[in-house]
Amino acid sequence: MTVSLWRSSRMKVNYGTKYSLPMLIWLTLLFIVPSAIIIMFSFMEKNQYGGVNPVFSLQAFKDLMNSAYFKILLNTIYIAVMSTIFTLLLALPSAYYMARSKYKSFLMLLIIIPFWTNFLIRVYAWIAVLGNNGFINQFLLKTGLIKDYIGMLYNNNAVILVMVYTYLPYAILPLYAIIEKFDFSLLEAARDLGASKSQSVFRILIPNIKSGIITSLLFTFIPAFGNYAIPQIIGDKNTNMLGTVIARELTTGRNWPLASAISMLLTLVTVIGVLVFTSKQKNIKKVI
Amino acid sequence: MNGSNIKVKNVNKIFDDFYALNDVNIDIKAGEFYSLLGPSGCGKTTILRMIGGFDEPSDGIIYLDNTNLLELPPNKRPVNTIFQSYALFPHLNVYENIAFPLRLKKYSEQEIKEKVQKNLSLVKLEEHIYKMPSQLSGGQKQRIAIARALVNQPKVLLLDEPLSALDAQLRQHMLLELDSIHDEVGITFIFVTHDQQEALSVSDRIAVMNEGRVLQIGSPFEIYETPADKFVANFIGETNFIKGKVTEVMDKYAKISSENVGDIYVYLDKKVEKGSTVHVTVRPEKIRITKEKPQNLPETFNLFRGKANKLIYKGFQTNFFVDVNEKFTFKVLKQHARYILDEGIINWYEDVYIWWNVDDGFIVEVEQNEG
Ligand SMILES: Nc1ncnc2c1ncn2[C@@H]1O[C@H](COP(=O)(O)OP(=O)(O)OP(=O)(O)O)[C@@H](O)[C@H]1O
Ligand SMILES: [Mg+2]
Repeated sequence: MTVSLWRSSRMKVNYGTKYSLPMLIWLTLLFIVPSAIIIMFSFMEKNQYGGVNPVFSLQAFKDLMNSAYFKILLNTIYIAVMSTIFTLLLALPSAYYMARSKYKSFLMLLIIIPFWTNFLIRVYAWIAVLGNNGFINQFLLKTGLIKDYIGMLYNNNAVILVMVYTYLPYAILPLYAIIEKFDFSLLEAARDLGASKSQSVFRILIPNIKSGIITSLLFTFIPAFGNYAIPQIIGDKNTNMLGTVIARELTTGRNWPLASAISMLLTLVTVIGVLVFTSKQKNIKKVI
Repeated sequence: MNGSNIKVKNVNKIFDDFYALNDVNIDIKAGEFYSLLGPSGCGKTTILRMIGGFDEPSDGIIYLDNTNLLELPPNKRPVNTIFQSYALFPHLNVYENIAFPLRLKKYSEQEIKEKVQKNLSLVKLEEHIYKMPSQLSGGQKQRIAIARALVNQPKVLLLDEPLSALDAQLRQHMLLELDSIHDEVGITFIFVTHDQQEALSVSDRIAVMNEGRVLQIGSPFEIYETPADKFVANFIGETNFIKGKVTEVMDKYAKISSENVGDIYVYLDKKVEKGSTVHVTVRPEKIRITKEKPQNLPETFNLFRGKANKLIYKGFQTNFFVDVNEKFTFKVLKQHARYILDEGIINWYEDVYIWWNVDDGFIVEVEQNEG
């Protein structure tokens, strides 16, 4: 008995390390090393012509204390949170409908089709839709509903709109995957036991697809929070997001330590966000 | 009486062009243990779903006492269902599963606790109160589903093949338990099954269905002993069918001449005319089998000589397949009271006599369009 126990546990350890080795190398090379470089850079002096001087300095963090960056951080959180909320509000009913539809594979294809076009092209396409010479303005002008252009681009709302557009498929797919596995007879059972339609959704469906909802949340919030391209193309140059600031400091600003420090801030907020979402899930299980 | 009666009146259900139910009329008395019995796809679940409120009839009405059930949404019907898959909520533990309907009704925590405990003790699972459904065995899940369905104090309990996922022994046990729960709560049970033994052993009455129609309604005894037609006779238990022409009609009996078997006499429970073609059924256990020519036979009987060409020994009984000629094999069932002492043992390929009392044969079907 003891022998076999000892054996099986030893085997587990051996195979565990062997199997996880590729993963370990992968993570080290592509995640830990770059993160370490960023951390190092943030504690160094900036070089006039870009890059860093290998001298210890806290200047980057002093610069970061500037209230302008705090405002940008708040604006970034605002945009990421709003985008996540709207994306989820659209993704949940869409995924539910897809999972219950007869035409599942066709609808899935519709979700995937946008991926065939480059992401940047699709973002630029929004200029053709929302711009002063875009479809909507032209249509409203021609029909005489408005007399002058409506400026729809280069503000937070436009950024949120395009974020929702971009990340909706990423939010729908995990939700679809879990709703498709959901046993819909549970909803009938809930109705049978006295629940109204909305009660059966909130008390039975939502708790059972919680892990899918959290995945969708993360799939939307993380890329939205660290986004660079969308605010750069669609957003207001004055109320930018952290991603665009990092790019600016790296290029025209020639302040790599500051860019690194902002990157660390961004990663920190993201990690906190992920921890909050996932720990909530654990708490719910504990309470029940 | 805690239960309600259910009247299913002229109900049709059409999916696209397909008649899943065809003019179904069922009258279930308050407090009855009523079974819907029929082969797969005959429409049993469809009836239950319409009573529960998850489907609507294409035509017809369903009454509970004197209210039209169809006007109420499922959550307003005093009816609860035990689903075939149990449908326990996987994210809630046993306690919360049973408390679910009570929380919806905003009972106090104290009342909820009392009711949950009362119903858990009804199904004898008090010690599993904080387990998750995934930690329960099939039979335990089943019982939780029963407790949850009963906690609302419904007037009618619908059970859709609740035992089909259990092994044979547990099924027997749960069946008895269901029966005693039925006696205890006194509400109406509508029990769906395709297992005739299940239906026969616990039901007050049974409706036998096939292809969307109700073929016969009656007590288990009536259904087994006097099947209304060939389908029912065949579906409920095993039987021997003999096809033949009526050659003589007497006041209680008829003489039938069969191409395969020869002449037999049957009890006349239907009106038949001389010359019509009929199907006769004789249950295998009603046929006696002996090695010697039987003595002291009753006044009216059918006797044949045959060869026991195949036999299946089952311990408490033996199934014989007796060829009376090249064309016809009788199924005969013999219960063993004192196997070796009373009876000469019959072996494979031995010549035997089989006979049955004329009152044990019935005409189940009269063919219409033949003279
Ligand atoms: N939503 C539906 N659409 C089309 N046909 C259906 C639908 N639901 C049921 N049917 C058909 O109606 C018939 C009766 O189905 P039902 O589920 O009532 O059978 P059942 O008697 O419960 O069978 P089983 O013993 O296999 O559960 C079947 O032929 C089935 O294919
Ligand atoms: Mg069924």
